[in-house]
Amino acid sequence: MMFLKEKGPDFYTYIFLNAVAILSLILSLPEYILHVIILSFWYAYLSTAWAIISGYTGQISLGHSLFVAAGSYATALLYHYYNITPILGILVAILAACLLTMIIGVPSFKLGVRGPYFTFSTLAAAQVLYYLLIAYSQITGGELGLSLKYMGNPLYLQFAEKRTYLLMICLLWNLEIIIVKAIFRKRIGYYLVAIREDEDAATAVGINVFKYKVLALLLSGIFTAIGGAFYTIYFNYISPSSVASLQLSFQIATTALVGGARSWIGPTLGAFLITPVMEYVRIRFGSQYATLPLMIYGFLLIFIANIASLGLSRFLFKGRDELK
Amino acid sequence: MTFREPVLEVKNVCKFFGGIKALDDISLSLFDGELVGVIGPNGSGKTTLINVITGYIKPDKGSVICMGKDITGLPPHEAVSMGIVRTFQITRPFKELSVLSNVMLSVLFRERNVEKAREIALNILKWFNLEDKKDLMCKDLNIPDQKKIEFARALALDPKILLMDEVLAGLHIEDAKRILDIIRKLREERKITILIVEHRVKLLAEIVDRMIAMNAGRIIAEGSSSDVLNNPEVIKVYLGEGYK
Repeated sequence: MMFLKEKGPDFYTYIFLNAVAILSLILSLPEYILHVIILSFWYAYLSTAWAIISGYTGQISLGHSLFVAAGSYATALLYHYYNITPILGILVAILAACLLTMIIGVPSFKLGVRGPYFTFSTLAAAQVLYYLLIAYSQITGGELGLSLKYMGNPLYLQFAEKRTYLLMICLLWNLEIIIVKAIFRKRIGYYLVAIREDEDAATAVGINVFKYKVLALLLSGIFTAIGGAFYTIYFNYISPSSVASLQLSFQIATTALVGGARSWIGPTLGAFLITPVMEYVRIRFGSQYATLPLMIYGFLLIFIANIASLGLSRFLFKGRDELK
Repeated sequence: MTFREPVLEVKNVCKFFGGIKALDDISLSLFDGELVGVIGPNGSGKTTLINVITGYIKPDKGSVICMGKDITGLPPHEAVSMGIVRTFQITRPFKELSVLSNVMLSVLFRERNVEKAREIALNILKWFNLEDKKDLMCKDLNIPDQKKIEFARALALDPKILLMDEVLAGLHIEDAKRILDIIRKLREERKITILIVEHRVKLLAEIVDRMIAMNAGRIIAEGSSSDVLNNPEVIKVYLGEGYK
């Protein structure tokens, strides 16, 4: 836990959010506020995972819902059909992420698919899964999705208290942040950034670009799939449009980019800015003006992209080399 | 000076780009600890030769042997692990990273520990008188400093064989001499085998053991620098009659 000795605004933000989580666990906040905090942590978690492959390594994915869907459907289907606890479901979700990395990442990285072409292949892969989930509706419940039965059994990670879920996602997020920070104190962190900056120059200094890209995608995918499993556990309901959609992929990416995908705290910052604002707008105006939230979201993105092209964390905390 | 056995052999290498013969049946050997200069007009295949040796380009024919091992077509990062390191004619630093991070990235290849790598990188920067600029981004450096960084990064990889593609191009005479001093010092201290592609023939002649002249993908002269520079064909295609 060396990084606890660190100082600086990004570190204080991290401490502040943990304080927010602890206070929400102690105080009895309204259910809905709690829900928004959980959702914000969930997006923080997913966007931080996305940043590993897309922010640090520079391989922009617009198909991360692929991993979310893999994780959430793996967990949900095992519970729904075989009554297997999500605790084991998470392990299967991790396996699914590994498998998807083999199917999507390995061939494209081996063939040297780069830049926009990699982005399009992730996007296409996620769309394929989306339509597969709809097509195999006898198993997946199609567009209507799957409603899972609630038994209130803690062994199945079903709790009456919303706060338990907050604790769960907050721990997941903390674990992820610690691992991401550890990566940046090791050689692999330097290598990922080198690949982002210039692949050919990276090869020239002896970096096996293929190997490190696969590692980054694997790590990112595993975290994201666990995030998908959490979605199933929390909502007890999944559908293609909630976990496999293009919109989710975009949301994960924009959240990270708005906050700053090259900094460890950036994606989290983005999540805690965008999620509450969007939730508020949706509740306040959504029923009357269905498209207004999206318009506001669009304006928010344009505004932030203009004032801080490398994300809010760079803008607010003053830019410095991620590797120092 | 006598040299034992070749550390690097290029055997009958051919490389075609469409109808153009970039390398036409090239064979050469580098001996342990030797410093060889390669000269020749633009387009004569000098950089292609480096590209083939370091794995950036696969030859159409022929082979590259390093210390008895066939390394033809091995990817660049594996060539680096064999100790074969190159610099680029147009420098290729990580532009948005600091000078220190740039050198560290090379050091990390042999030294996994980040803190130790930082120490080593700082030492290398001192060699080049660049320690004051360690926190600057590489894109903010002037050309001579970028050239130095390119060289420093190659050294940080701890090469056995170093292939340098026009390190002196565009450098002021003082900077060029400083780079040459470093090359001399390197040979004495680390016994690295070096191949330098260079247009600044007079500077090159001061430090090399042997010189090779290329034209149109072929070797046209080989030997001591005075022999090569007095070779009539070299004068005709490259140096020009007014060279003397």
